[in-house]
Amino acid sequence: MSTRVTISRGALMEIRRRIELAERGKEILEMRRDQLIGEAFRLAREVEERRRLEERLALIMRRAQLAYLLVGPREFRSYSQLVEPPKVRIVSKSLLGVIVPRIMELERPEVSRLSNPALRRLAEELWDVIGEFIRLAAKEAALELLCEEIGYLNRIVNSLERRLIPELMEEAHYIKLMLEERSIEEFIRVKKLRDRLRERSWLSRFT
Amino acid sequence: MAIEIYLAVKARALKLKLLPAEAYEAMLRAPTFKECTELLSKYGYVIRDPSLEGVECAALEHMLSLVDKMIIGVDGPPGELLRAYSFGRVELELVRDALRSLAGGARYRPPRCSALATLKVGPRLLSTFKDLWSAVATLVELGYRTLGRAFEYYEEVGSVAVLEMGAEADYYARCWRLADSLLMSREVKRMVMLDSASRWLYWLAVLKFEGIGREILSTLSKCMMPGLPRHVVAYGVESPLEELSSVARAVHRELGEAFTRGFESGFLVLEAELLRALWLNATRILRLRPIDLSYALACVLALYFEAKNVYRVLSAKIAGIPEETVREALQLL
Repeated sequence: MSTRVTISRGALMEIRRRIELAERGKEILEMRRDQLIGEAFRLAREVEERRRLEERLALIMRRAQLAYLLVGPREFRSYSQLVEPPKVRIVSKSLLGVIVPRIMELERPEVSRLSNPALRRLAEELWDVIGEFIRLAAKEAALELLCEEIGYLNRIVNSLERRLIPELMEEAHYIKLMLEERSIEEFIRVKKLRDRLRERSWLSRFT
Repeated sequence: MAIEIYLAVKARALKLKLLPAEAYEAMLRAPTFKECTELLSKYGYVIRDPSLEGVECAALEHMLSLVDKMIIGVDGPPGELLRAYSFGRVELELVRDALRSLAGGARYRPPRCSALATLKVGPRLLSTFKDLWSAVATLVELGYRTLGRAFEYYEEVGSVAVLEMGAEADYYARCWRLADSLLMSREVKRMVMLDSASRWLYWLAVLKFEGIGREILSTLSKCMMPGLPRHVVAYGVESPLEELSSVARAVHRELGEAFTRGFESGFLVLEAELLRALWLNATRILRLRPIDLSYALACVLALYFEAKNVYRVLSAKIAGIPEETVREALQLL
């Protein structure tokens, strides 16, 4: 035990207060961690739809490739110039205290001017899938940030649980022992002093 | 008549230069773009630039040079018709592309291809247009009259399809005028008619789908199909499917079948089916080998389809599109 520890009742009370604070903090952090884990599981279930989306995208891409070949690459490019690009905005939102990105679709791509109905439909379907992919990407980013936060909380809880609280408890135990030892010494000293005083008073009677 | 026989004989020599089916198969199986171009070089294609633009230029150059060789020294109406039909087709593609780009608010960037410099409305002119209005004004001066009327409708309804149909109507009206005025054989007129009818059917389906009104449809249809009897073009606009199929029957049995098969699977398939019907007619003429201009026209059409297919296969190789998809596209066509 460190020799720098102040052995006093005040120090013991201070350490006990710190232990109480650390334990309360640990409990709160554990609760927050559990909440985050629950949220992460919910997001993980939603992210599982990536496989289905990828299959859907593969199908649409195959149709797009077919359209590219049927219409011709140059024509495909000139058709694409009739499409107004979509507008999206990336904003930050707090999810259980973790700042995660959120992608808002402000405007869908304007495909109504496409003079080929097949390409128009294809563009709409393609945007539906890409829009879902964008939302999925935001969820994946949120999941990643949540996992980072959970990892960070885990490290704090572990350090509280395995290092700070045991050290403080050990310190408190040491101070308590030292204080008890001191009080015993004090008691003995007082007793000795009392005996000596008694002895003195007894001797003075005979002199 | 002597000129027509001369052209038919020249067209037969040209037909021998067409890519055989095995060449397509070999191109599809070729693992790399380089092997593909090496294979094509045996058939007279010179591909210097391995980009999309370079490939397109090479295909168009090959087609236009062969057509040029066929009509060289042929003065008069038959040569004019062949020129209008082949060169006009390429020109129409560029004009439609330019209209789409300008309607989208972008300047048109045409392919830089020396073979296209001979076109009346070539890439050089098209690249100078700053906006749709100036483009249409210039094109009207150059003979695209229906496009001018279509532009008025475009301003009214805002559909680019109307503009594209207007430009196509001008092309087919020009071809029909030449075919009709020269006392061409029935087969020649039938061929031009079938071509314009297939495109007319396509645009009819597209514009009806977009909810374009009866007046606009009738006006553009009359310009696009001047050879058809009036009662066929003057249809009602009550039930699109019934009318379209009845018109399809009136135009051609093959087109009718193609249309009914294609409508369910979408407009791309409809377009492909209509092109296939046109191709079937061309191959029938190539098989019958008549000694008139229809044979030369069928050859030109075959060359055009070949150039487009070569461009498709090579661009698929550049884009890394799987062989099965390219095969499916070629089968559809």
